[in-house]
Parts: sequence; structure tokens; C-alpha cells
Amino acid sequence: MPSSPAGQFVSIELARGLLQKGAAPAEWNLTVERFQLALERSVAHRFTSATSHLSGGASSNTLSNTPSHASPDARAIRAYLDSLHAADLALACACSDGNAAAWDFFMTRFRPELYRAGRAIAGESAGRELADSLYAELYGLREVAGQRKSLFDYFLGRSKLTTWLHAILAQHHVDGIRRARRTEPLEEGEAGEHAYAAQQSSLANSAASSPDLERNRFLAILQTVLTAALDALEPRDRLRLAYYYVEGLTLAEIGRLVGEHEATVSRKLERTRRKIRKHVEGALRQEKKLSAAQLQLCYEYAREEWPFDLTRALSQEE
Amino acid sequence: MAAREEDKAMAGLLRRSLAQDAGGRSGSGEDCPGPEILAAYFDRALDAQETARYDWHFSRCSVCREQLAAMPRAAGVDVAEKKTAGAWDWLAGPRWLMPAAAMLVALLVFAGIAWRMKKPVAPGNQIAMSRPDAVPPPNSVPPADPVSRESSAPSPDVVRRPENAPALEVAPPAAASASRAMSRVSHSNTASRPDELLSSGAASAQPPIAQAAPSQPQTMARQKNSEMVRGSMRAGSASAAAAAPVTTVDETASVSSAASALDTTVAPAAPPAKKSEADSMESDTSAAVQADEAKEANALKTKLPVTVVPAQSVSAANLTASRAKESTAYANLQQAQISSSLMNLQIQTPDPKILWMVASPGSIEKSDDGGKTWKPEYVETRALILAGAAPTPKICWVVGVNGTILRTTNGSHWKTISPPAEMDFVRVEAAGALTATVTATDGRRFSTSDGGKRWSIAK
Repeated sequence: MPSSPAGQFVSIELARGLLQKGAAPAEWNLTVERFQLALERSVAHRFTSATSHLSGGASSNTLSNTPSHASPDARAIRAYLDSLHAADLALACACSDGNAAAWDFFMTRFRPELYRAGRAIAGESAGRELADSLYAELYGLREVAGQRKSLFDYFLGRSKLTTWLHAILAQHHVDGIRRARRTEPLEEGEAGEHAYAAQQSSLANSAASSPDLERNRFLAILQTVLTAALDALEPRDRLRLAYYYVEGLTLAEIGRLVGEHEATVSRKLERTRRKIRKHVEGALRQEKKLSAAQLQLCYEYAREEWPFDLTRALSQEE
Repeated sequence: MAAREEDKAMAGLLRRSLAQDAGGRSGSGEDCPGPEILAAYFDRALDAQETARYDWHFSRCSVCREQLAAMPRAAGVDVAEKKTAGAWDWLAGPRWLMPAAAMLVALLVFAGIAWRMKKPVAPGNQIAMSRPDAVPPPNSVPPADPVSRESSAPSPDVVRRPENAPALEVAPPAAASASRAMSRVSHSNTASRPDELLSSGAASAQPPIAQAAPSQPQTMARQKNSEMVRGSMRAGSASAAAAAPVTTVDETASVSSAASALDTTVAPAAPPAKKSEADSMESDTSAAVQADEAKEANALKTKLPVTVVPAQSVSAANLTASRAKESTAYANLQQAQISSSLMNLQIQTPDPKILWMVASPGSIEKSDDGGKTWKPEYVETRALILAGAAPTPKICWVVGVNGTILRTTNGSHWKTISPPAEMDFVRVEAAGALTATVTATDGRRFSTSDGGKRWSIAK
């Protein structure tokens, strides 16, 4: 987590004003200096992470204390600080410090929400377990260099605390699924690899010797052209497609993620599909010199079951 | 290849391509932003430059996308529950509001039924998705009139129910908009309540006519939970809260008990209003009913649901003819061997090992081992599927809401068929890959003999 010398970005007066805005109860014993430290960390993360690309949070390494901009614009910092969720950040600071009153407040207010979100993400049975697994990390049972490290230290106030908790739940859930994917097939791994190798071998053989050589050639061309069309898309367009086709989200869910109405999502998805199709058909006709009938054949073949990495199989053979 | 087929092929290509692209990422998460950035992104607290940068990353990183995909679900629970709570807040207000609303709806229901009795009932309305093994109601009365909603119901939010139903259903204004499915169904011509379609189609346990049948307490008790679930399936939690138990045919009733129940023309348990209605109908159509009883009994022996249509303006001869047609239709339907459970519509094929199942909207699964294992099929629709027919192990037709008609001719590849009209279809009879007849919610039937290229109104 990036840090900065106290007072580098946030003056004590500014921190006091934001703490008052956060309306932290006195029993949380949250000092202005402590809150100033949290604000400094948040500002440092925001204005130094520009160069650190996509790092951040619990998974990122500590960034260099040298900010990317020698002196971030004071107005930008002020605007950033004003946009922070001061009340949530104050609660996170107090909980990170282990204040009992703050923890009581957190548990009363956020525990039902955590359970509810856990159930929504992981299902009825695993949801509670998923939510419960967070508490130890939130409290900070893990020690780093002899010091208790609370997950709350990573809350920067840029989002609502609830959303941040949702994101952590989602991260834990996906991590768990991916871990399971990695470990479960270990015993079957060899068999799976053999099957994959056999499949690739048969593909390569069929590519070379099958009378359906034309089919494989067309599919490989189609894949190449389509990959190029996807690469040429705007990131947001590609993201919508991926949410829809890979993650299986509904239009409403995609709209919630990209900040658009579901009708807009639907319209833009359709537009992107048309664009891709135009690109693909244009490339097949002009670059690959396929006739209209061959184009139709491509679509016919694409409807059948076939491995998308056929190009690799064919190129290996060649 | 038709344009729709090309679109479908393109959709499959995109899915494969993007999935393969996602699988190509390391998935280690080393370069991925932490939860604070994901949360800020989700809250749209990032500036434009940051958002663009993370858009690029997320469009290529399956790890982050999977995490983000879970976020709307987590947040959506909040929204849904708050919406539900908000929708029902008004019920927790003054104590008089609930009985007043109930009385208002009772009046509307009474007016609707009185109006309905003056109108002829299209025979097609009597034909709805039905399970071959479902037993018809011992005493059936006409279903909801196709156009009664417009004239008798002041608002689509007010849902008509038989007056002998144990509870009255009122969909509050906010609840009505809670689900597109609900509004879609409540605006359809025939169904008088959202879950009617489902009970006649997706659940296909009984035709809609059964919902107006005289009340049987034990039947209601058994059906209560299932109706609540159906309501929640169709219209989300808001409408589920609004769903009240309705009178339906007992799925577990035996043929013999149902046959013996036929001896009684009017159920003694019917309340006065229903009784007077039944009496008036009885006087007009007693001959037709008597003539049909023997036919119904025969039909029951073969477990074919046959409905009685005591409509005043329909002559006995026409009634008999229409009923004969329905019997034929149900006989055709029996060939499809459709049986549905509460949640899943199962479609049997002539091969007992091969089964189709509609597990959820837009989801069709296939079993090649008699239902032991199921494999999801790709279909280019997320519409609710209400009925299906499989004349051969490889050919299957399914129909659903919003003009959804799908067909497979090879047992794996589903093709979207152009519907005759953008309406909800509740039944399909298929004789093969090219010949099929679909029934819309308003009773109209459309036939094709060229695989859906051309449709004609079936007689």
C-alpha cells in the first residue's frame, strides 16, 4: 500500500474537516492524526498508482514512495478528497485500530449485509461461510513484522464500504473457485492431458488426411479473422461482449457494471455484433478471397462442434 | 443460410473466441487491481482515464471479470429486497387498506366473471399446455375471457381471480413493474394472472380452465406452495409475495377419483356466486354436458384432459365439436409425452432414454440416459419456454413467450423459427421436422408444414 510522509498531501486542517464530515462518534477514539494518515495513504495510492499501472490493494506490492507526479495538483487532490466516503473511511480506520465500539457498529450495520451478499454470490449454503471467512482478515489476525495487519487498512474510501466488502467477497469467491479448478483435476490431469494430446493429434491428422480438409481450413481462417476483429474493438465494446458471452450476465447486470441502461447495452451489443460480422465477412471476402458460397460454408461449419484453437493444430501440422 | 442462422453461428463464434481469449490469460491476478479499485470502478468513482484503463484490462482479464460479474449479484440482492420492501410498505400502513383493497378486487372479480359469462369462449382458450397424466377438473367452467381484462379490470395491476379462491391477489403498482415477465404476462390476452401461463405452460400441470374450477380445500392446500413458487419464478420476489393460492387440479389425483367426481355437475362446495353461475350455465348446456360426460370419461381412461365448456352463446353441437377437436389435440399432445415438474419442463421423446428439459428461461438441457445426466444445450434465446413436443428422438420443438419458437432436427443444434406473430405460445404439437401447430395464449393456433417458413391459421 502506498504511503507518504504525513502532511505531504493532506494538511491536518483538511483532515480535521473531513473527519467532521465523516461524523465519527467520539467513542471510536479516532484522532485527526490517524485519519490524516489514512487520507495520505489514499491520496498516495491514487496519485502514484498512475505509473504503477494496474497495481493496488491487497494483491499489490508496496509502491515506491516517489510519486509519479512530483507534486500532484492541489486542486485535484482536494477534489479527490472531497469525493471520498469519509464516514466509511473513518469507520475502517477505527476498526483497523481495533476499537470495540467501532467493531460493534460495524458488526451491527454490515454483518447482515455481508451474509446477504455472500449468499447472493456463493449460494445459500456457502454464502455464510464465505462471509464468515472475512472477519479474521478484517480484524487483522495476520501479523506483518510483528504488527497486526487488518484488511481495513486497504480501504481507501474511494467506494462505499459496502461495495468494497462486496468486492472482497467476490475476490475470495473467485479465488476459491480457481483454487478448486487447479487442485481438483490433479488426479485426472494426466488422463486429461493424454486426451487433449490425442484430440490435438486427431485434429492434426484430420486436418491433413481427412476428406473434410476444407472444413478445417475454413474454420481456421474464420478464427483468425474473428480474433483480429475482436482485437480491433474498443475495450468497452469487447467488455460488453465478454460479460454477455463468457460470463453469461444479463443485460441488466451488464448495464449495472458499465453504467448503462439495459436497453443501451442491448443496442450496443447488437451494434458490436454487426460491426464484427461486417469486419469478418469483409476480411473473408477481400483478404481471404472467399466466395459467397464459401462464406456460407464457413457459417455452416461454425455451427458445429469444433475446437477454437484449430489454427494451432493446423499450424503444428504444417 | 438464413440471416438468423448466420447470427447464431456468429454468436457461437464470439462465445468460443472470447472464452478462449479469457482462458489464455494467466489468471494469476498479479497485474490485477485490488478490491478497492474494483469497488470504485463498480461505484463509478474512478475518473475517465482510470475507467478507460481498467476497461481495457477487464476486457482481457477473466480473473477480474469473474470478480466483477459477482458484484451485480451482491448488489442486486440489496436492490431487489429494498424494492420488494418498498413495494409492500403501503400494505403495512393503515389497517383498513388491506381489506379495502381486497373488497375492491372482489368487486372487480365479480364484475369480470359476470361479464365473462356474457361472452362466448373461444374453443382454443380451453386448450392449454397440459400434462398427459394430469387429471382434468371434475367440473370445469370457462377460462378467463380473452378480452375481459380490458373491459373489466381497471388496471393490469389488478388481477382477476375466481370469487371462490381463498385469497384475493393485488399487485401493487410498484410490484407490477418489478418484473418484465409479470407485466408481459399480465398484459397478455388470455391469462388472468401471471402464473396462469406458467401453470398451463411451463409447469403444464393443468390447463388454465382448471384455475376457475370449484374450490377443493385439500387441493388448494397442496397447490399453495407450488403456486407461490411459480409466482416467484415468473415475477420475482415482489410478485411472489403477491401470489395467492389458486384453485387448481390436483396433480396427484387419481383417474378414478376424478372420474367419480364427474357425477357431480356442480360442486357442492362452490360458494353462492359460483353456484348461481354454474346453475345458469347448467340450464343452458346441460344437454351438452351430459353428452360430453361419456366422452370425458373415455378420455380420462386414457388420461387425456378434456374440458367442459358451458358457455351460454356456444351451441351444444358446436361445443361438442370443439371438444372433440380438443380431444384430438390432446391426443396429439400425448404423443409428445410432455411432463413437467414444478420448476422444469421435461419433454419426453419416443426414446425413453432421450429427454429434454427446460431448466430455466433460455436454458435447454438434454439427457441421453433417461434423465441420469443432463447436458446443457446452446439456444440463442433467454425467453421463457412454456411447452415442447418431440415427435422423434432427434426432432424437438419448443415454444414460449414473445414469439419464441425453437426447433432441433438433429438433437443438438437449435434453430430459431420465425413465429407467425410476436405473441406468447403455450403449446406446440409436432408431427415432424416440418409440420407443427402452435397455440397462442389467446387460443389461436397456427400451423406450418414447411418448418416454420410459412404459417397458416389452423382450424
